[in-house]
Amino acid sequence: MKKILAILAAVGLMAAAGTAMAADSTDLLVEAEVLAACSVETVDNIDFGDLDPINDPATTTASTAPTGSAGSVRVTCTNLTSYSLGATPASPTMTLNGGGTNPIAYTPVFTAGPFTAGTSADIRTIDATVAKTAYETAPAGAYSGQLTITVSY
Amino acid sequence: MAISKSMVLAMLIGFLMSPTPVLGASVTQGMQVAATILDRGHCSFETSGPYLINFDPALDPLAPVERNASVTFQVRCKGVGHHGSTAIVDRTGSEQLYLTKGSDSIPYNLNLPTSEPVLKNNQPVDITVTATIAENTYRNASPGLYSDTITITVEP
Repeated sequence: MKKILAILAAVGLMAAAGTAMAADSTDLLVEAEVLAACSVETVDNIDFGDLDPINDPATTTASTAPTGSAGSVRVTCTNLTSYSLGATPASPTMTLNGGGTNPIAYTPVFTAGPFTAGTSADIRTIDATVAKTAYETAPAGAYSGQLTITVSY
Repeated sequence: MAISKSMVLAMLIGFLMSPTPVLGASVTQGMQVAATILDRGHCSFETSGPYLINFDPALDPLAPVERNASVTFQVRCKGVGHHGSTAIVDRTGSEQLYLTKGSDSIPYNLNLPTSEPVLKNNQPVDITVTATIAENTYRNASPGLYSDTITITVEP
């Protein structure tokens, strides 16, 4: 009888010790969302150079004009984000500097996309054409206008 | 031989007053019962998990900065003696942790308070776990929800 009681007591102490050594576990969930985001900045402005109302061809393209150059924008998006380009206003014009008069209509030319962004920024060319009829009666001087490039994603 | 009423009464009283007849044998032995509640006690999570660490607002790869997010939960330790105890929160493994979305991943670190003092028995103790995503680790991450689930353990 004594042996049985002693064994039971020992088993009880071992069980108590086992409980004290136990640990409790649970799950920890960690979450983060990565945004789809894009930014755009102007690298080069569009420049038609010198326009000659008498001798120019019917249409002048900025990128191929003798003293002109196309514009470009740098588009940076989250990796693998799909995006497209747009331009406003729909019918842009240049006006005589200082007066804001005598508008000359021009047409932006660019590939709208859609594109898929990579891990580095994309340079997108923004070209433009202008018809000789738009400036053949315009007074001489420097003209400028504002074109807004929009990246949609 | 005549039996008088007084003799019958005397016999009955004698029978009732006599010890109980011994039919078997037994012995008894007193013993002490003792137990010691270990000072380290036993700790458990106050509420069942999973606990959530959520990086909010979302990560912007175009403006990356170091981000921290944390969760505070409680553990309760029983069997804590006068000298107090220490709750140890740990996770299995020591490898780099990653938030994943398909095959994409963002590494992160987890700061566990590996020794939180427990001063009182059977009282909830706050435990704060902080996760950190380094600035330059999600510049090229694709959009979407990233997640990871790990197991944490409180001891003893």
